[in-house]
Amino acid sequence: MPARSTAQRRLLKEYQELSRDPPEGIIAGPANEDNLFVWDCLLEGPPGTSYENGVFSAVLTFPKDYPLSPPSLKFDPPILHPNIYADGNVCISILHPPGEDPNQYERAEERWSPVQSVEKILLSVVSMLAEPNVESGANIDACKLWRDDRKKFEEIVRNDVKKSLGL
Amino acid sequence: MVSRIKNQFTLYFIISNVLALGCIYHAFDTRPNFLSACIFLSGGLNVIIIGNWLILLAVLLGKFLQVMLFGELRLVEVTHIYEQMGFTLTTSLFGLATFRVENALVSGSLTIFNITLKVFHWILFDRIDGLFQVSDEDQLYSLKRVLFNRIHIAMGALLFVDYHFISYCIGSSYENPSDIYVAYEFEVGLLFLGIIFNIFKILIHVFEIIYLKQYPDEESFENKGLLIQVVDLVHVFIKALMYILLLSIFLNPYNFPIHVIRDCFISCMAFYKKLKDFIHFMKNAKRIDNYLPNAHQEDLEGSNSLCIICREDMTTEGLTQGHRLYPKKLRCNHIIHLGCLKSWLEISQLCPMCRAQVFENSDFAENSNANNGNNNNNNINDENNDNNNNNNAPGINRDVINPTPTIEIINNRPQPEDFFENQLTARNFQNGILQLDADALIPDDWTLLPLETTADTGTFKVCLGGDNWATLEIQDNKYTPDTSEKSQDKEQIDVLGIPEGTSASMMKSFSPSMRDGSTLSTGESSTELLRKCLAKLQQLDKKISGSEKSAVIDEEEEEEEEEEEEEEEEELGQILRGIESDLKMSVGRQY
Repeated sequence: MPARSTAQRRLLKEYQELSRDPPEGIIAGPANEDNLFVWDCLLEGPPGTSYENGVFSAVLTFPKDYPLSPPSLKFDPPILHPNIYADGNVCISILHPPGEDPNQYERAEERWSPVQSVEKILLSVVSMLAEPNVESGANIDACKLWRDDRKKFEEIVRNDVKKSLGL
Repeated sequence: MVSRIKNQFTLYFIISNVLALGCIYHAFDTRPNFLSACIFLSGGLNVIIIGNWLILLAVLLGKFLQVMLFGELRLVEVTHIYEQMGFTLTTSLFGLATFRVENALVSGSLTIFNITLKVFHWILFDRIDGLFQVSDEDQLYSLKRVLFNRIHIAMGALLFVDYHFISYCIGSSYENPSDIYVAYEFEVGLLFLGIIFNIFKILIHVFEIIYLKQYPDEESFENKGLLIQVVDLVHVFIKALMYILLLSIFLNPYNFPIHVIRDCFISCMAFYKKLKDFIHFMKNAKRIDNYLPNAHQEDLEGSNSLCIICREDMTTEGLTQGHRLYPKKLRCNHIIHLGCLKSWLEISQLCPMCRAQVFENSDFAENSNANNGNNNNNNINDENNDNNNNNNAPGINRDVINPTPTIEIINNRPQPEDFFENQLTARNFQNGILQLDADALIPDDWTLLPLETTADTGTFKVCLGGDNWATLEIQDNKYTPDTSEKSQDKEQIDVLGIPEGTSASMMKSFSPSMRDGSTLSTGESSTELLRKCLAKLQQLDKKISGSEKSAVIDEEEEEEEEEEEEEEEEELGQILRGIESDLKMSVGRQY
């Protein structure tokens, strides 16, 4: 199939760039050569955190009008993190559509813009793993655990890590 | 959920059938002949039972027709039906109650028929929408899928039924002047129109497919959006017009047409919204053409040559102006393909790279014309100017409603001098503070510090980052504090500025106080002082950003640094010259 829409051409470009010069601990690419709009990603847990050594798989789904609208990222299987919903969907400002936040919480410049790229998204997700933003949490239970019972939180996360490694 | 509804419906079905059959059996069993049985059935409780049974049969027939015409319903369609059903039922009942009708059976069946027709049309419209919303590109642009589709049969059938229903209603309303015919005539007429307009949309889509087949290089048929908008606009316009007409027909003191009012209001609002969108759309298209300059080949050298949206190289060679791939230059000097820019503007009005406003606000156009005369000096690309007079003029948005006026600097990298000469006027001051919008462009060498008002009116707290605060004191403060709510708001973050009415001699002290309590010496001339303060602030800023959170700075050390950083001083000098000129301005105003 000829790649002909802007979205497809740009995704192909990003894929080429990403495979030519992959950032540390991040692997990503289209799940299926015929459909560039769904990518499989593997993210390594940032060292020095409880996610260390984990290899988490996530699915990036791009909209038809990418790069005008942001893609969505879903961890599959879901992992415990204050900014990841219980179903695995990631809540991070860079993935929110452009414009003003109705709650005035995020600044416009933190939100999606075509300047961003798959690489930048995945890098910010890895740094989100390292530094959760408990203030605007997605998973309230995880937020509570993270704040009140860090030990238990880390234990569950280590379990997730083990699961991600197939142990 | 679904299975429960199904069970309930089965129960209802059985009960209705048993009751109706029992009723009929009883009638024929107890009455001597057919006539008296019928008379018995058309009175009392029997009417309700038989009526209920007829409705059930109508529903079943409708369901059967739906399966024949559309097959299985999608979830969206079911949700839409449920959403609209409530209102439709209530308005129909209102309608029935409002009109004087002799024959209850006729009016009842007309109403049921009308509702069924409406439901079918909703499904049809959803199906047609679904035709254009396929995720698979190949499917979307397959001519076969669009042309040989089940919905065309449904569409033809509905058009046929609509047409005959309308002509029946027109005929009946002549013979038998009952309002109910007129009402249904209009309603079905609207559905009929809806189908016609949807046919237009399908035709546009088909045309796009053929166009793309002919020109495989093109990404989409560019005028499609515009055409669809026009079709929609005409559609809602006619709809609103018809409802107003209907309302005016029925409006008399004896029967107030409650049921039409809601539809009338909604359609008028829809028309208003569509019209607004349309005007906005047209304006944007015009603005892109008129206000934004085309980029030149020399602009596209170096890192600038990649369009940030599609990540492809830009060139002006071999392209005519107005082509989708022709690069356009925004006022913030970023360059994007025209086509990419157009699609981005449908989502946001800010530059995708620096979030500067792509267009000036609407009232800017008048202002900039006035400003244009003295602002021509800051054009580095005068040659672009022939077709766009306004785009280079920095201007100030003098929006009275908006409490924070925007300062907009266009096209060139803003220079401090320009900034002060052209932008800084009394209008930007509120409570003596220069107010900037969140997306205002700030000259490169400026540092923004959050400012907090304190209880003492001449004093401001300046946040230097982290826990470090400085106090800015104005000795003779001429402005009177605003007593409105806004001035009470301590959280308000403003941009450091010079209070209105402060002349050079009035600036008493600006003393960054550290945790260790060190302050700058006072007693120098105010510009000297300000120069020092700003230098100190800059150093602090650097130190803090270099993660030295507990920055303790000796005065000697700081002075040494000051000498070392001559370059920085020069930059500061630029700002300060600006400030001085402004101070002169404000002094001039005072006397």
